Amino acid sequence: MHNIRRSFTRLPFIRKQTTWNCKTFATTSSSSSSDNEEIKIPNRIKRSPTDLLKALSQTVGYDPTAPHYKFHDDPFLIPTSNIAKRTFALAQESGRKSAKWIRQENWKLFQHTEMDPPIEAFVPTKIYTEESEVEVKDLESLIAAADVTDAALVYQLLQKNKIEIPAEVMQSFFELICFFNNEEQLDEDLVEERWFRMSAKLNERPRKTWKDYDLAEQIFSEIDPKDSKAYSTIIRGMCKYYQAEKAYAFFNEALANNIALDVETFNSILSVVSFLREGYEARWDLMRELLITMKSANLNPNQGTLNSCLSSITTMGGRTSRDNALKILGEFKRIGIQPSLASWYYILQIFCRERGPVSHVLIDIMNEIEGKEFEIKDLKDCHFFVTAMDVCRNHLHDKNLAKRVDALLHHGDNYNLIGDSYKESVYYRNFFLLLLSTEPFEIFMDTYHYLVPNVYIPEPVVMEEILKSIEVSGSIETIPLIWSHMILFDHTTRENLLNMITKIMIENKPNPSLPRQENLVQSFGDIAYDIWKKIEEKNEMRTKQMIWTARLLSDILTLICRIEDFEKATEIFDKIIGSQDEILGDAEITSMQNYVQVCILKKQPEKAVQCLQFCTEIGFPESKDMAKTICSGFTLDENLLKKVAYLAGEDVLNDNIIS
Amino acid sequence: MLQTLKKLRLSTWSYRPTCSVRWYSDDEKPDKKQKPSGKEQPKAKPIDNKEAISRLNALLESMPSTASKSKIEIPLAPNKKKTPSKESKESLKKHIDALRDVSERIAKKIGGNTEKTEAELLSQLLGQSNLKYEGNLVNLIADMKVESEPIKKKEQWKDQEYSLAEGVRRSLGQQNERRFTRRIESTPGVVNLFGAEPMGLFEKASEEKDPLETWSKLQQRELKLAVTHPPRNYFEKMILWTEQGKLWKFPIDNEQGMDEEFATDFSEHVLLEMHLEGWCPTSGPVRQFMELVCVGLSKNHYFTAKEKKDHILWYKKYFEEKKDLLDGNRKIFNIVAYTPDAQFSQHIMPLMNLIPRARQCHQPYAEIFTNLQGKPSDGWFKGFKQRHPKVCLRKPELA
Repeated sequence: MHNIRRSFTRLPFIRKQTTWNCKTFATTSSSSSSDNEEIKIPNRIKRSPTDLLKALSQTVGYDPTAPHYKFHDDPFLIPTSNIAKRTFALAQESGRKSAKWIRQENWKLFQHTEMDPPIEAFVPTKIYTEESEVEVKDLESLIAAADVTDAALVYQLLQKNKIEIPAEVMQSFFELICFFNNEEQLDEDLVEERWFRMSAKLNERPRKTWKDYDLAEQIFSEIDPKDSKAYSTIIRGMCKYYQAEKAYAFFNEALANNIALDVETFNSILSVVSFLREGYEARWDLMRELLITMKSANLNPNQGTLNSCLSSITTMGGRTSRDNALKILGEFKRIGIQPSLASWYYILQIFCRERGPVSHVLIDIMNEIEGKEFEIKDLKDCHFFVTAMDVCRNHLHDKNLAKRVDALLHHGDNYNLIGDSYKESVYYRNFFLLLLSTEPFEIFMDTYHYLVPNVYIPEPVVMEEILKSIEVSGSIETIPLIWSHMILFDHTTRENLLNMITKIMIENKPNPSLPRQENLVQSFGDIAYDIWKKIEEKNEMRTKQMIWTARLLSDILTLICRIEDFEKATEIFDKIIGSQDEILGDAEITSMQNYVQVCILKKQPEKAVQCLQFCTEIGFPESKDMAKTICSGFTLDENLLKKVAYLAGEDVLNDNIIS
Repeated sequence: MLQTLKKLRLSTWSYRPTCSVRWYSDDEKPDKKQKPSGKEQPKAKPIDNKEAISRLNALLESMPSTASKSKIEIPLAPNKKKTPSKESKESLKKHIDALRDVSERIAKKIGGNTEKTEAELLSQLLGQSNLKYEGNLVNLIADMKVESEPIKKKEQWKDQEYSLAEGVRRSLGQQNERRFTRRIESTPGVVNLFGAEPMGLFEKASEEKDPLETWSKLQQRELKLAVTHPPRNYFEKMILWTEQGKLWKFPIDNEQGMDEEFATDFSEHVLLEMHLEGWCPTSGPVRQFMELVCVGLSKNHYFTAKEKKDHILWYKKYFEEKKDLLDGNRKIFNIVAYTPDAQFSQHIMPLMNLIPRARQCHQPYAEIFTNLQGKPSDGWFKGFKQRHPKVCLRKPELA
C-alpha cells in the first residue's frame, strides 16, 4: 500500500517534467545542446539471420599474409603450389562428398532423428525408383530443390500411374526442365568443386547444346492449349542453350497467334540474334526490329534487355558496332536503366578487339564505376574483372589503369565477382605480367611479396618473365628467394626455368665487395647443387625422366667450382664423364677449366688428370693449356706425368721444365 | 637524327594520332628508316642541325598540351563517322600552319631536297613514317587527325601485313619486348559512354515481375551460386551453413522451425480433460487414473498437443477393450501409470503369486481376489469394509 502511494505521488512530477521537455524541444528545436535532450528510441531494425555474422565477418578483413581459410589446418600441410592447393581443397570436399554418399547409401542406418525441427541437409534424401509410389507433392518438392533427374523420374512415374498433375505444377516442372536443359546439376554444397571447375574458355563462341526432341519439347507438345507461359518457357530454354532457329520459329508462332510474351523472353531472343542472321547489318536490323516489336507489344525493357543487346553486338564486327553499342547505352540510360558489370564487359569486348584499333574506353568505364560496390545481376558480371585486366595488359599496356581495376576489385564485396579460380589466376597473371613489363623490378617485388604465395602463385610462364626481368634489371640478389619459391611452387621440373636461372647465375657473377651481394657466391653454389640434387632425385623416382643437357651440367659445375667445394664438384664431374651416353651435347671447356682450378686448390691431381683426359678425348683445343696448368699447379708423380705426356704430348712437359 | 627524334616523340607525346601505326613503325623497320635519314643528313652543316633539333624539340614539347586542349577524339576508331566541329577544325588549322612553318624553315636550313625533307619531318612528327610526301600535306594531316575520311586502301593492306607480323612475333613469345609505353593517366576519358544519341524507342524501364516464377527462382539461385565462393573465414562459413539450414539462426531462438507448435494454443497442451468427456466414468479409479494421466501429460513438454490427445485416446480404446473385465466379470486388476514426475498405481489387479511377506501388505487385495472368484455377496462387502477401513472399495463400482 505504502509503495503504491509513493508511486502515485511521484507520477505528477514525472508528467510535469516531460511536458516541459516537449515545450522546450518545440521552441528551441535548433539548439539541441540543452541538457534535457529527448531520448529518441530508434525503430527496430529487422535483421536477417546472417546480418550479425556478416558484421562479424567484416571485422576479420583481408589478410594476404595468411593462407586462405580453407587451408587453415596443420601448418605443416599448408599447400604451397597451385596443384597442391587444388588437391587440398578438392580432397577436403571429396571427404564431405563421401560422407554424404555413405549416408545416402546406408539410409536405413540413419533413422535416428532426434532433431526437432529436422535439419533437411543432414537427412538422407528420398530415393526414387521405377517402383516408388509417388504423389504430386513429391514432384513439387523436387522442383523446389531443383533436382532435375529425380523430378523427371517422378514425372514419368506420375504419368505411368495416371495421376493428374495440376497445371501450375506442370508449368513449374516444364520451366525446371527448360532451365537446366534436362541435365543434372552440380550439388549446391560443392563450393570447392564449383570454384575449381574449369569454366568455359573466356570469349569462346557458344555452341548449341539444347537437347532436341527431348523431354522439354515433348512436354511442350503435350501442353494444350499453349499459353504465353508455355511459349515463353520453351523459347527461353532454347535460347539459353543456343537452339536459336527453333526458338525464333516458336517466337514467330507466338506472335502470329497473338500470344503475349514477356520481357525476359524478348531478352533471350535478343541474345541469340547472331545465330539467326549472317552479316553485321542484318543482325543489327533484326535487333532493331525485335526492339520495335517489343515496343509495340507495350513491353518495357529491363537490364537484361540491355545486356542481351550488347552481347549480340559483340558478335557484330565492322565499323558500326561501337556506335550501335553507344546508341543502346544511351537509350537505356535515358529510361533510367543502369548498366551492370556484364554490360561493361560487353562494351570492352566491342571496343577492344584483338586486332582492332586501340580504344581507351576502359578509362571511361572506370571513371563511371570506380568506388562502387556491385552485386551480381547477370552471370556475365563475373567476366568483367578478368577482361578488364586483360585489356589493361594486352590492349592498353597501362599499369595505372590496372591498379585502378585492382582497387575496384578489392572494394567492398566486389571480390565475389572474380568468377572462379581459373578467372582469378588469369586475372593475376595479366596483372603480374603487366607490372613486370612496366614497373621497375624492385617496385614489382613489393606487389609480388604482397600477393605471393597466399593470393596468387605465379605459373611457370610468369616465373619465366620474372627471371627475365631479373636478368635485365641485374637484381641478382633476389635469385635465392626466387629459387626457394620455385621449389615451393613445384617449378623445379621445368627445364626452361632451370636453364634460365643457371644462365643468370653464370652470367651475372656476384661481386662480393658489394654488401648486398656478399654471400651470393655461396648461395649460388648451393642453388646449383640443389638443382643437381632435385633432378637426380626426380630421375631416380619418376618414370618420366628429365634428360640432362651437358650445358646445364657444366653450368652447375662452374657454379659449384666458384664456391670451391671439391666434393660436390666431383660428384657432378663424375656424372659428366660417367654417363656421357645419357647426356645431350658436350660439356663446356670453361667448366672443366674451373674444375681443374678447384683440383689444384684442393690438391687433387688424379681428378685433374682425369679431367684432362676427358677434354682431350672430346678434342678441345684448349686441352694443351689445361695440361700446362696442371703441370705448373702440381708436382706430379711419375705415373701421372706419363699420362699427361701421353695425353697432351711431350712438349707440354718440356715447356714446363723450361719455364 | 630521326632516330633521336623518334625517341623524343616517344617520351614526350601523350598519345599518337592513329592507332594503325602504333608501334610497328618503331619496332619493325628500323633499318629502312635509318637509311634514308643517313642519306639526307648533309654532313657539312652539323651546327645548323643542332639548332634545328632544338627548335623541333621545343615544338614537340609544346605539342601534347595544345593537342589535348583541342579535344580531338583521336584514339577513337578510325571508322568514326563524326565530322569535326568547326572549332576543332580551326584550331587544327592553326597547328598545321605552325607545323608547316617550322618544318619549312628547318628544311631550308638543312638544304637539299627541301620539299622532301619537310614532308619527312612532318610525317615523323605525326608518326606516319610510311607516308610519302607526294600528296597535299595539309590534307594528309587533317586526314590523320580528324579521321574524317576512311583510311586508304594501301594503308589497310599495310596494317594487315603488320598484324600478321605481329601475330608471328606473338607466337614467338616476344610480345613483351614492346618498348611502347603511353602515358594515359593524364589523358581524360575519350568515349562519351552515355553521349550517343538514343534510339528513342522506349519510355520507361520495366518494373513488372517475371511471370515465370520457377524460372526466375532458378535464375536467382544460379546467380547466388556464381558468387558463393569458398568461405574466407569462420563467420563466412557460418553464414554458408545458416543459409543451408545447418545452423541455428541468429539471434538464437530455441523455438526456431517449430512452426506447428506456433499454430497451437497453450490451452490445447494444458487442458486435456475435455478429451475424457463422453467415455470416461465421472468417478472411480478409472476416472482417477485418467485425471492423473491428464495432469502428467499437461506437464509433458516433449509431446505435441496431437500426441497428447492420441495418448489419451489410446487409453480410451484400452479401457473399452477391458470393459467386461471392469464391470462384466467384476474382476479386479491393477493399473499402473507413470508420468515424468508422478507415479500412479492402483492395486485392483488380482495378484496371483504373492510371496508370504508381500501377502501381508496386500492382504486386502488378496482377499478381494479370492472372494471375487465367485460372486461376492453384499454381506462380504460389509465385512470387508470393517476389516480394512483404509481401502476404499465402493460397492456401486464393483457390485
